[in-house]
Amino acid sequence: MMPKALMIIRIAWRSIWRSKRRTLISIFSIVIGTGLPTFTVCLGWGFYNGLIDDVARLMAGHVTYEHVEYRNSPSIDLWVDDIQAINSALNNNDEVLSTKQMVLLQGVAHTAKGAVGVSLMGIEPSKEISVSFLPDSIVSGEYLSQGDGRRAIIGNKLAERLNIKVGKKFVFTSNDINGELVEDLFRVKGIFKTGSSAFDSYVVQSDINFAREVVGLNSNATSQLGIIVKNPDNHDKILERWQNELASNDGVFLSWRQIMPDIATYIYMDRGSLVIIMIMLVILVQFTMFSTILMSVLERKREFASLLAIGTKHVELNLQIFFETLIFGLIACPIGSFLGVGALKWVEGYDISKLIEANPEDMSIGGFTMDPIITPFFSAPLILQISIIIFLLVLILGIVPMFLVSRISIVDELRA
Amino acid sequence: MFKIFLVNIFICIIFLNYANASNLDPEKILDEVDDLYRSNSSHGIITLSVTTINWKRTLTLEQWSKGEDNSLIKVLKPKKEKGLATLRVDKNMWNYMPKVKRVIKIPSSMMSSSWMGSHFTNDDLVKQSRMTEDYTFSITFEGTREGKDIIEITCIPNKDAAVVWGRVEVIVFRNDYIPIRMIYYDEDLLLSRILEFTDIKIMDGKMIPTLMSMIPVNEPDESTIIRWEKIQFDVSIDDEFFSLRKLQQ
Amino acid sequence: MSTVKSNEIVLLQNIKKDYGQGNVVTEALRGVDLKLVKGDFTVMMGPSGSGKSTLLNIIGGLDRATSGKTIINGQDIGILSNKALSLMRLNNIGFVFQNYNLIPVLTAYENAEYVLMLQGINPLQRREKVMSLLQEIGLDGLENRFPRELSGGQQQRVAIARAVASDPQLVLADEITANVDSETAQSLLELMVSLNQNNKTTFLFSTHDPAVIKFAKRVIILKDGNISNEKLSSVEIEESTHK
Ligand SMILES: Nc1ncnc2c1ncn2[C@@H]1O[C@H](COP(=O)(O)OP(=O)(O)OP(=O)(O)O)[C@@H](O)[C@H]1O
Ligand SMILES: [Mg+2]
Repeated sequence: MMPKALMIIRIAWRSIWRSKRRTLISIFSIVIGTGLPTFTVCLGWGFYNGLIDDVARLMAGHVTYEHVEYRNSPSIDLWVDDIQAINSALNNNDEVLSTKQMVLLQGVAHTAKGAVGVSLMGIEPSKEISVSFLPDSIVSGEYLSQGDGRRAIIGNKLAERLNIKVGKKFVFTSNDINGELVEDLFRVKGIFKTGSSAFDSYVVQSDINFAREVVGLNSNATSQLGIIVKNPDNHDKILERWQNELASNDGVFLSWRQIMPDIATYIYMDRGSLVIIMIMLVILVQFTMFSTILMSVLERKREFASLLAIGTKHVELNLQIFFETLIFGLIACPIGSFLGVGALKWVEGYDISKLIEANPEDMSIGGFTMDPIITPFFSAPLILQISIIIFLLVLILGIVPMFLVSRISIVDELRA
Repeated sequence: MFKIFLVNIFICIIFLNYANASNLDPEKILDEVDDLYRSNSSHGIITLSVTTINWKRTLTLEQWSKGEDNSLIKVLKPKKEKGLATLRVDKNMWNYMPKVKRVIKIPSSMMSSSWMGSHFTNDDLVKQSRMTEDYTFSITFEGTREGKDIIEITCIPNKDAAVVWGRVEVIVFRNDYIPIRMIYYDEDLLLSRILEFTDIKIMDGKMIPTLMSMIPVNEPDESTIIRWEKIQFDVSIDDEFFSLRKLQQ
Repeated sequence: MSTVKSNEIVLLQNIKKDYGQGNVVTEALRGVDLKLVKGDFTVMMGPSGSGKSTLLNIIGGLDRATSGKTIINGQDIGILSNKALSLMRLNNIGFVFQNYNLIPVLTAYENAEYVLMLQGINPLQRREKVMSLLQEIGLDGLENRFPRELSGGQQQRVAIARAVASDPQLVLADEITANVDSETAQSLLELMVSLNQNNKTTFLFSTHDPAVIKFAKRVIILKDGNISNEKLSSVEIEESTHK
């Protein structure tokens, strides 16, 4: 059996190289078929991951701990307690990079110019500085520091609407934890610009301690505890464990997908369209591949007929064709992956905004601007997965010519 | 809602009230201004005209108030909006929509939206009178200006007071403290809006300006005008009157 | 099957072959009876279109007769499955074609070895067999050449080597001298005669070439799909050689 298989492989191997042009076309099409999805998917995933990470760090982390009801109505009277204990437990956890407490108040900011609905995020300034990109997005004034009290930072769009500058005041009106209306004066310490017009026209940040004071929340309670994990990819698993081990009765650990469903949906859809484009591309490439395989079989009908005439079985011929496509796949798929990764390495770190000179807001997903610096997502399993999928598709394509072989009429083919 | 607005204006005025001794104690003067419309309780009919660049409308409203914290306003005209009512008790506000027969509590997030399309926000109507807490007063002019014998009281917000203005000037007649004008400046002391009191008439035995016009300075073609058609003071109203049940009648 | 007939390699009974359907039916064979015994060296002649190739294909199990019995080595191959037929071809029959039909990607040596490989013969035996065979047919030194690097005659020798490598009981050769010059044809025939004599391999030829006749132990004439029983006249030989 073995020598027979070896011989079939030998025939397959030599047959491949007998028609170099056709072989190169086949290999080229598979290389493209593997390389392009690898390139695009890793690039896309890189963008998404960067976006998710940025937004998670800006907002409530990859995983958020909050009151079970908070999702339904994000109001200040739905807070989670006993934060110190949970926080220290989390910070001792290997998978956690950092945690951030946030008190979130919905309300209205007024100036003489008018009143605008805003969301006040009470945050721990030192944490934000280490975790979020917002401190780097200050365009005038300064970011917060601990004990800033009435000093707040606001988005540039909001500043425009309130006609307010650094050092000026605004009044923030909200409800305290008892539902009573509260009003407080704030002074603008800094103005930030993230590029997300939703964020820049809606968010006010102040020191969490002052925010707690405003609404009467004790220092062991918070609206949200955001958790930045080391590996966002497997946060779902950790989340379940924490829910069992750490959560109090009315507290719940949620994924960023639940906290920011807009972004999750957008990414999901965008991924979907990317995948559809990829599938179309792959089909196109496979079609080229398929036609070259088909051609190579049709051209060799006579050869196959003579092989059959001297006693070769159909199975053995099919095996030969299978080996031919297998060899194509084995050569081309790794090359494709390799070239895909190479191309990614090549574009890595490139600033696309230079390329398309686009307004950063044109590149936003769910209101958040993508980082214009290309940071591909290099994941061996992902790259391997793409390669294997294409490889399997190639093998499946190799099945069709086998039907052709089984229908060869030896006598007709051999009649000179 | 409109009435609430009115109420608020009162409050605006009211917030200027707080008595102290002395002949020309600014707080005492503001106190009198505040008392002007309110007394212990009041009941009146008001016409509200709102002019914006795009549209103009006029509503007739019936208003009840008691103390600083309770007020109820109902729309009488136009027919389309008849029955629309706003209740304020303390810092809470509710709207009643007769068409859908529902009471809606105005959440804090809606406090910044315009009240009945006027140049007042819901929030304007709810603001507490904390004038003494929030401002420091001084008399900055006393004498004749534009042919009127007036007193000008300047209110400077205290540090950290939840006030958006940089300065408010209240101008009243020197003899009877009837208000003439309130001028609001922003933090940079730029003129922001002016509230004018005109058409002084005797109503229910009291001399009051029956026309109040609010003009936002950055949109001079727009205005909100309130006219008192009728007002009665110190009518007896139960506290129960300011209830959700009453709101729906 | 029975011991009496054990040297009967081919037995054809009333073989008919029709091509086409409906109105345009070509009757290629019209009831051929034929018997070949072990060690035969038979040449089949006949004008073009007389059915020589058709008959060879049926005997070799490449094609099936429309009716009649085809018994090869005691086995009625008409009832065999395609798979069994292919096994029968592998083990009992060697083919040599007019245009060689070598496997282009295999060397001369590998072409000759191919069938042995399919039969699962061990490498040592294969090597021994193929080397001696190549020597015998005068191709030693050329064993590593690919078919395209060989002349027509050399290619046909490889084809013969391939056909006889597995020691089949029957070798079918369809006009194998048609594409080579007469000298080469002569030597190819001599080669086959010697194979016939040394190994008792049964040969069945089709040809137009009268030169072949002198090597034949037996000559049959095919005419309009039938074997003619008349003795060959030189005229007929002449006729059949000028297609
Ligand atoms: N596949 C086919 N379809 C229809 N007719 C066919 C087919 N194969 C052969 N024939 C016909 O059958 C007859 C016999 O053909 P065959 O090839 O056996 O002749 P031949 O004796 O080998 O001729 P030649 O000496 O030219 O090779 C011919 O008339 C031919 O036209
Ligand atoms: Mg023929």
